[in-house]
Amino acid sequence: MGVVNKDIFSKIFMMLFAIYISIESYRLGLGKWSMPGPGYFPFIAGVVLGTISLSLLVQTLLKASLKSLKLTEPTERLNWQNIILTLSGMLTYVFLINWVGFVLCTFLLMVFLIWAVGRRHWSIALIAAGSITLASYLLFEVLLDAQLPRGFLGF
Amino acid sequence: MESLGYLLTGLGIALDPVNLLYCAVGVFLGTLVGVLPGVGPAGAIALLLPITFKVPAISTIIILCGIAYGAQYGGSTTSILVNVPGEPSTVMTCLDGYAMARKGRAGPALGIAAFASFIAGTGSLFGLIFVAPTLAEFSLRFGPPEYFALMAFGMTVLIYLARESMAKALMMGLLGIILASVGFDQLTGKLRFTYGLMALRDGLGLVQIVIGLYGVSEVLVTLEKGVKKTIVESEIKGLLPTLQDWKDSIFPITRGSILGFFMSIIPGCAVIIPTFISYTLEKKISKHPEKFGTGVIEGVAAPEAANNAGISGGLVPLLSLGIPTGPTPALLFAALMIHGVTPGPLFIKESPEIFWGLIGSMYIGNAMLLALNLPLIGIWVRILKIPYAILSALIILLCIIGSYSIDRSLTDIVIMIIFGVVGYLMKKFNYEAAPLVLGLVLGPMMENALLRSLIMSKGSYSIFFQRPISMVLMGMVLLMLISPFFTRKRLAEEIMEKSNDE
Repeated sequence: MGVVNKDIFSKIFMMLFAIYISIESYRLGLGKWSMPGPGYFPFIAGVVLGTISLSLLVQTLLKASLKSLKLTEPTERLNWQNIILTLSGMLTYVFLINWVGFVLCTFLLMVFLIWAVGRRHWSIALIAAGSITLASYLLFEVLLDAQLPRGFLGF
Repeated sequence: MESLGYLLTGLGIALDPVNLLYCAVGVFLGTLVGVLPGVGPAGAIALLLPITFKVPAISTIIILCGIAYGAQYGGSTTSILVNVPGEPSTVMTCLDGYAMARKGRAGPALGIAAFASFIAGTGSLFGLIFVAPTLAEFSLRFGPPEYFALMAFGMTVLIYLARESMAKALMMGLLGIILASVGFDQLTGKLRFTYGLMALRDGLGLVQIVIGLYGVSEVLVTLEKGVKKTIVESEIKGLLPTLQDWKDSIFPITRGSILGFFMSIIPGCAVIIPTFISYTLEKKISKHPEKFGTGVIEGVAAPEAANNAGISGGLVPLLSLGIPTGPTPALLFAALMIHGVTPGPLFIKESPEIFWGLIGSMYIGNAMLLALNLPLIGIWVRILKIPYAILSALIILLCIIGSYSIDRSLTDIVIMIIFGVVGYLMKKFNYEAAPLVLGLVLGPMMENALLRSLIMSKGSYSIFFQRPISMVLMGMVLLMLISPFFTRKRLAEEIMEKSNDE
């Protein structure tokens, strides 16, 4: 058997998710025919979702075994590091913001995203990050009173 | 005659200096979002929702609708100059618009796009004025079975018209419905799928999910691929179309407007499909169909008219039935609910100032856009040249602030990031986000309508086939769902293929 289509994983995942939802909804209580319970609607959605995922999965597997499906994705170089860096930057931001405060934390995140992910010169990163931070602070905190986290510095 | 009085009152509300300012802010932001490929109107409305928390409901909807139709104007600029559709609804504009730009006719292409948008945007408001109140009146007779059937119909149309696979779109719709059931059950008050997490008690927020799916995931995909843009560098001159241009495009604009408005009333049709159909139609009836794709002005005028008329069309079911027909109306719906206004059959009667004020503001907003777009075209072109590194950082920050400020909760940011990753994976595996968003909004309403119908009928599904309106709608739902087993190609695929022939 050749390379399995990557798409299979999404279908397997959706099927397992649907099975899980159906079981959980069943536990919530389906109620009676004339008086449906809280699990009734999600149960139906879960069962239909599971059925479709299963049929798609079977379809893909049949095709795969018939033609020994090749990986159809074009092999272009993907910068997956960018994704990891961006996501970890965002999560660190959420983790630190209550302690460090909106202004400093935002400035650091912007510098990081522009310099490390966007690979711009650090001077451009500093200027752009500074302006974005200032503008967003003025707009959301001063003008719109969004009550962003303040942190130990007080802003 | 009564409508005229209301319309004048509405214009008065819209001309109030504060609302005028909000309208200007809305259409400006909308154009900006439209010019920048990526986030799209639904994502932009979600991102910018925090700026509306402190203003009254009428100003909120004025800003947010301004973003929606402003994005249609801005999207065409990117399509014409960069050959990258700023919005999915301006894909068709790329074909002849970019071809015109390469021939040095970028000016008239941009000009006719703006005029077509204006004519369609203001003209279709008459449709909204006449159709919405009538439909609202009519829908007062609807009971739970009719409502359920109507929502099921809307979901199914969206799924039926899916670009990729219908089965996958259906899966996303169901996923949306399942996600919507997190939190308190409205009928029994029981908690569902919360697992002791406080943050999930009130359910997953639509706004956080939309920001994740449309904002963060778009940035992730672009960062992964890297951006390549080629802007037409020639000087843009002669924005005003010539008399010949007008002769060529006035009928396509009229047809595009009518088609765009009426098709977008059908729940699920959104603004994208009418643009494909109006382009195909113009090509079919044209005397020189072979020239389409080489830069004919009709090819820009018709879809541009259709996508702007589609905005008014999409507002009809939202404001008269309380049923959003796509991601953008879904967010307008959520925004009105935050302000304690529930769109539905009684909405126009109970809040005439919002309905007519909105219509008044749309006349003014479209005029502003015409004034804003043509002279400021140079600014929009310069914005297109901002490096993506800076732009993506800015979008990420707006995503964070947008999801945080709904409830001032860090958990919401985490939920938004999770859905950013989910949206990224969905894009990788060709799942569409629109059915998920619609399922998320319609889920609780569909559940409510279904359970109440079943209680009415003592558990029998035959109730949906005993009442004429729900019978017709459910019949069409079933027909659409089983159609893939009988036809090899779906309508959406045919349209896509025809338009890709060039």
